[in-house]
Amino acid sequence: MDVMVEARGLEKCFGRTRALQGIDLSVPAGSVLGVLGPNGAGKTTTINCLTTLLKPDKGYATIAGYDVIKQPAAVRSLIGVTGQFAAVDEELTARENLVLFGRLLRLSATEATKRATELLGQFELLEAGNRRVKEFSGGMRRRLDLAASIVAEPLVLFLDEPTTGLDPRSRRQLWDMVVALKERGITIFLTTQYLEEADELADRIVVIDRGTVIAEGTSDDLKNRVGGTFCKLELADPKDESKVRRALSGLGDITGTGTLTLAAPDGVTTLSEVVRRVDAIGVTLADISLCRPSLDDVFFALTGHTTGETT
Amino acid sequence: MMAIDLQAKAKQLVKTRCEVGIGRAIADSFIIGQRNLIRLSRQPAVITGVLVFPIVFLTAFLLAFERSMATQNIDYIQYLVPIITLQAMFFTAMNSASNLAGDIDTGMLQRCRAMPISRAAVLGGLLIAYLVRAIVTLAILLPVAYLYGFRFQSGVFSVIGYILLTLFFTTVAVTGYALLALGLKKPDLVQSLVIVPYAPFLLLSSGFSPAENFPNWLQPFVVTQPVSHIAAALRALADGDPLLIPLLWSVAWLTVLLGGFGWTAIWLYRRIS
Ligand SMILES: Nc1ncnc2c1ncn2[C@@H]1O[C@H](COP(=O)(O)OP(=O)(O)OP(=O)(O)O)[C@@H](O)[C@H]1O
Ligand SMILES: [Mg+2]
Repeated sequence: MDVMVEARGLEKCFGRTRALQGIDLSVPAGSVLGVLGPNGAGKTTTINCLTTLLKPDKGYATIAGYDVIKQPAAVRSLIGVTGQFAAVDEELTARENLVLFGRLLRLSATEATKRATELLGQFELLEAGNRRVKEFSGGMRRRLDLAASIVAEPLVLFLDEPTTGLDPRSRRQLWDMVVALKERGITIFLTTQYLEEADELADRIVVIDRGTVIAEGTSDDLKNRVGGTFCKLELADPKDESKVRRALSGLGDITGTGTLTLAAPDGVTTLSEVVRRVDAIGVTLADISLCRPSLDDVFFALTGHTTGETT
Repeated sequence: MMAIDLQAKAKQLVKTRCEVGIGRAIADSFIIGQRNLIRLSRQPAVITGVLVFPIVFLTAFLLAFERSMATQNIDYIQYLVPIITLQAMFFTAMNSASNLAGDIDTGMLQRCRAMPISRAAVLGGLLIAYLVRAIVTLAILLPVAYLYGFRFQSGVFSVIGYILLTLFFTTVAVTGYALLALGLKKPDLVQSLVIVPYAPFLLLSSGFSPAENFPNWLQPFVVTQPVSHIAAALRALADGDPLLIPLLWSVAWLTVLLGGFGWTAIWLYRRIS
């Protein structure tokens, strides 16, 4: 498979902060790479290096074979970038924004206008097209930002936390749009703090922490390393803990105190088995739930610390 | 097979989207300039800044000082209009710093930097928009000054010269303030500091009042600093007085400042993060 984006040994320091400490990754053409990491992991810095906005201290990166440091102008004509914070002009209308970017990307005035209308339709902004962006909701802004990044269709689209801060409906809407872009063959480089999002959109996932890649694979690979779905039970009376542990023996490793966690490979079947056994010994549960691993769980499994703790 | 397709497609895109050169820089500057003008036309503060402020200042200074200046044999309207013109341009440039800082803050600048447009286009577009604004300001200020008795004594070339020198000053001031915005980045910070250069350069100049009226220890600064020379050149243009010396000083100052500011601003633009 062809490599569209490649990075080798990227390093970047800001004063004493070592934001990137040797990032290696590659994205096959036409695929979606999800870069998963907590706040401050170096996601935005990685994107900035790949999109020519920042010069890495060490290492190199290429987009479709063009060197981001030595051929930045060429790289810029191949990429679309949607930054972490929607960068569109608040004083302009949605349509004016799209026309502006179209013109800057070499479309004629008529082509740019036509393309703007087309994109407004595609991103469900047609009705709001002639309103100023400062009146837009967060979700609309994000969609416009995404539309602005593909006014001239890029080979690679960079999306930095595209759904952070959106409600579930807007998030779903944006996901659908990203999937549509993927189906058109655009290679996508996406960062996120949500395992769920990477799971939904990405073909492969790279987990980064403190500027280094700590794991890589498909979302199934990662979930297997974390243990997939698990079952969480909270006891009404913590004194029952040893009793419960005995009753559940044979179902797998149980971790935690007070709140007990065990792997639930069979999902609901495991859950109901747990409920049955706990019932049988007459213990009351305060709560029981089936959980999918979150970024925190992935982190805990991979590094032994949670996303909140640093150093 | 696919590798060749991909390479060919990439090459094609680079070829069509990534031209360089001066023509491209100018075209991109005009596109961004147009966008800036749309923005400006929608900011109420800009409208008052352009229409009302210069007139208010002109009127107020005239009322306050015309009599006392007359005792020094100065026809104050002729003396005052040049510095009021420069002051209006200074305010124009201050506003350009706020708008550029806003673009840095919202990420507009980063978006432009990731696009295959000329490196000079963002600054070029800023300049174009603010020069248009400057022309509009002049088109309002000069007729009002005429009503107050201000006259160009020596014909149409001096009017053109007056306008060109004013626009040259505006170019330098906008570039200088762009530098400030690129260096400080945070809109609040920029907003709170734009006034700082105003006090020494505008108020401590021979624009509002002759250098002799300043304390002795301050006079060397007052007579050497650029605004004094430019105001003098504008007065000479309006009055039909000997022009060469103040004009040479003005052009020399403005050229040096433009070179310094412009080079540094582009350098900062390229490496801003
Ligand atoms: N311009 C800068 N100056 C100084 N430090 C910086 C700068 N940009 C990033 N950093 C630091 O580099 C580290 C990595 O930051 P980065 O923005 O890449 O993280 P991130 O993964 O994008 O985080 P988030 O999820 O919060 O967006 C952080 O410790 C951050 O404080
Ligand atoms: Mg970030």
